[in-house]
Amino acid sequence: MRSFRSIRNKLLMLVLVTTFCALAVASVIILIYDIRDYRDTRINDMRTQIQLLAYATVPALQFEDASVADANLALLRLRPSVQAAAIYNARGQLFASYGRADLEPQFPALPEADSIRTDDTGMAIFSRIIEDGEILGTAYIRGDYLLIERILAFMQIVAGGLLGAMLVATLICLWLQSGITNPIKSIATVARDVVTRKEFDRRAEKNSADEVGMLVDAFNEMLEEIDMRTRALEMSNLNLAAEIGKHEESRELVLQLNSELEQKVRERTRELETINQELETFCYSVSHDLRSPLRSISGFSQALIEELPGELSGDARRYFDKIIAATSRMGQLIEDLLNLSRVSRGELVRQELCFSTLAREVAHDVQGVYPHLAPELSVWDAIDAEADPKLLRIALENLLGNAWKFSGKQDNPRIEVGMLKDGTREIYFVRDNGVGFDMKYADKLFGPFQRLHAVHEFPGTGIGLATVQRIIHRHGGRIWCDSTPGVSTTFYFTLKHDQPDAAANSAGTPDGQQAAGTA
Amino acid sequence: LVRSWPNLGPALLGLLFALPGLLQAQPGATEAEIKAAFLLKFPSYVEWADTAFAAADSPLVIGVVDADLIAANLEQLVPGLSIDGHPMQVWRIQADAMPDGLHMLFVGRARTADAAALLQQAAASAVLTITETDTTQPAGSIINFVVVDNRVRFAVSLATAELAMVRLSSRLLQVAHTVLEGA
Repeated sequence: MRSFRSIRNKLLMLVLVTTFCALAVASVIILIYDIRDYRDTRINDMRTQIQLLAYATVPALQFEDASVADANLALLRLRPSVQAAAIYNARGQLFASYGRADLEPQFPALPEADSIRTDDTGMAIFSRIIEDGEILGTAYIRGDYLLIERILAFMQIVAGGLLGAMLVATLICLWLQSGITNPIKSIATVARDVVTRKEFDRRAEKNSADEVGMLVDAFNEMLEEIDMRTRALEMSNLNLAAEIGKHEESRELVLQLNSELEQKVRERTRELETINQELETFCYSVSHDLRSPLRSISGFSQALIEELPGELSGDARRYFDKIIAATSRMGQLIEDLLNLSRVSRGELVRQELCFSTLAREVAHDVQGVYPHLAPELSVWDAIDAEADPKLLRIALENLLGNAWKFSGKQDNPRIEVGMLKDGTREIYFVRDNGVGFDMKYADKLFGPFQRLHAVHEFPGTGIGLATVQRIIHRHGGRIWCDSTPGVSTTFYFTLKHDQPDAAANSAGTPDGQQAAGTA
Repeated sequence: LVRSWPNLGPALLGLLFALPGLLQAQPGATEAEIKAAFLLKFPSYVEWADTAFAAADSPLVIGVVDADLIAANLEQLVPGLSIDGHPMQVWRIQADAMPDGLHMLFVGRARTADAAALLQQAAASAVLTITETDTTQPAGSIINFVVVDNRVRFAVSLATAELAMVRLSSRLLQVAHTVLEGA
C-alpha cells in the first residue's frame, strides 16, 4: 500500500463504487415504488374511511341529528392518522366536526366536490353523502400524509444499509483480492529489481493459471529474451572494442609512417634547397668570375686589332671580329644568367600596382631598344595586379622584348597586353602576331638555353623565358603559351596560386598546353 | 340498502324531484313538513316480511289517520318516489278499520287514543306504526315522534317492532332519541 494508486486500492475502489452504485440505484427504485405505494395506500385508506363515515352519518343527516353525527366522527379518534373531519349538510353548512386533540381544528368554509388533495402537511378528501339518489351532504376528512418524514426515514435506512454493505464489501474485497494483487506485486518487485539493479536473471513466481499467470509467463519470457540479447550485445561490444583497438594500432602505425615520411620529405627538401642555394651561389660566382677573363679576351682582341692594323690578313681580321662578337655574346649570357640567379634570390615583396601603367612603361623602354620597329601597341586600361614590381617589370621586359623581336618581320606587327577573367582567376596575357612556333615544342620553351629559332634569325640568349617562368613561379602563378605560327602567339600567366578546383583541372598538365585556344 | 355507484344517475334524477322537500328541512320548516319528510325516510331503514309485497314493484302504502297537514305534505312529496322499486302511495284512512295492503300507518296526535285498536291490529299484521304523542309511547306504536329542544325526534319500541315482524335497521336506532327494549 505505497500509494493511493496501487492495484489493491483500485480494486477496492472498484468494488465499493460498484456496490454503492447498485445499492443507490436499487434504493432509488424502491423509494419511488414506496412513495407511490404509500400514496396509493393512504388514498385507499382515506377513501375507505370517508365512505364508512359517509355511510354511518346518513341517518344522522336524514333525521338531522348533529349529536349522532358528532358521535360518529368522535370514533375517528381511534384512527390517529386523521387530523380533522367534518360533515356538511345538503345546504353546505357545517353539520358536525372532529379535530385531533393536538391540532387547532380547521375546516373548509364550504364543502367541495369529490376530490383528494395533498399538501405539505396532509391529505384532504371530500365525498358526497348520497342515499337513495339524494345528496344528503358532504363528508370531509383530513389525514396525515407524511411523505417527507417517510422519505427521510427511508434514506436513513438506505444510508445504514449502504454503510453496512460497503463495510461487508470491503472485508470481502480485502479477503479476495490478495489472489489478484499478490502475483502482480511480485511481478512489480521483480520488474523493479530488473530495472534498478539490472538483474536480468531474476524470474517472477507463478502461482495462478489465470491472466495474471499468463502475464507472469510472458514477463519471464521477456526477461529471458532480454537476458539473452544483453549477453549477445556485451559479446559484440567486446568484439567491437577489440577491433577498434586493432584499428587504433594500425592508424597509429600509419600516422607514424606518415610523420616519418614527412620528416624525410622535409629533410630532402632542405637538402634540395641547400643544393639549390649552393648551385645558385656557384652559378653567380662563376658568372661573376667569368666576366673579368672574358673582358680580358675581348679587350686584348681589340688591342691586337688596333696594334696590327696592316699586318692582319682578311681572314685574321674576320676571326678577331668573331672572337669579339663571341665574347660580347658570352657577356650577355653571363649577364642573363646573373639576372636569372638574381631573380631567384632575394625576398618577394608584393604590392598593389597598376599593371597597365607598368606595361606601358616597359613597352616604352623596349621601343627604345628597337628603334627601327614600330608595332601597333594596345595595352588594356585599368588592369590591377598584386605583385613584386621589380620582378614583374623584368618579366614584362622579357615578354614584350620577345614580342617586339618576333613580330618585327611582319608587315603589320601588332602587340596586345591585357587580362582575362576565368571565374576568380585573373589571367594576364601578352600577344603578338609574330612568327610564333610549332606547338609540339611548347614544352621546351621555358627551359634555359632552349631556343626554337636560329640566333642569326632572332638574336637572344635563351634565358629570357626561363627567367619569366622563374618570376611567375615565385609569385605562385603559372605561365603557358599558345601559338599559331605567323598568325598569333600568346603568353598567359597568373600571379596567384590557383584555386583548388583549377589546380585539380590542371594537375599533370605541362604549363605550355593549358588553356590553348582560350585567347 | 347501501346503493352502489352505477345507480347514481337515476338517483340524481330523483334528487331533482326531492329538492323542494329538502329545502323544507328543520330550520324554518313546519313540524308537519318535517314529520312528512321523516316518514318518507323510514322505509329505507325498515325490512318488511317477504309476504308484505305481492310483487317486486307493488306499491309501498302509507296510511294516514287524522293528520291532514302531514297527509297533504306526503301527497305532495310522494309522486315519483319509490323505495327499492316500490312506488310510494299515501292513503287517508279512518281509525275504525284497517285496509289490506298497508305497510306503514301514521296516527295523528288527536286520534291516538281512538286508534288504539287499529294500532294493535296493524302492529300484529306487519305494519310499521308511527304516532306523535310527545309523551309516553302508546301500545302498538313502533315509532313515536317527540319534540326535544324544539326539534323533531323519535322514540323506537323494539318490542313492538319485534311483535310486528318489522325489522328496524340499527342505523335508525342510532339516531333514535330513545329506544325501548322491552314492552
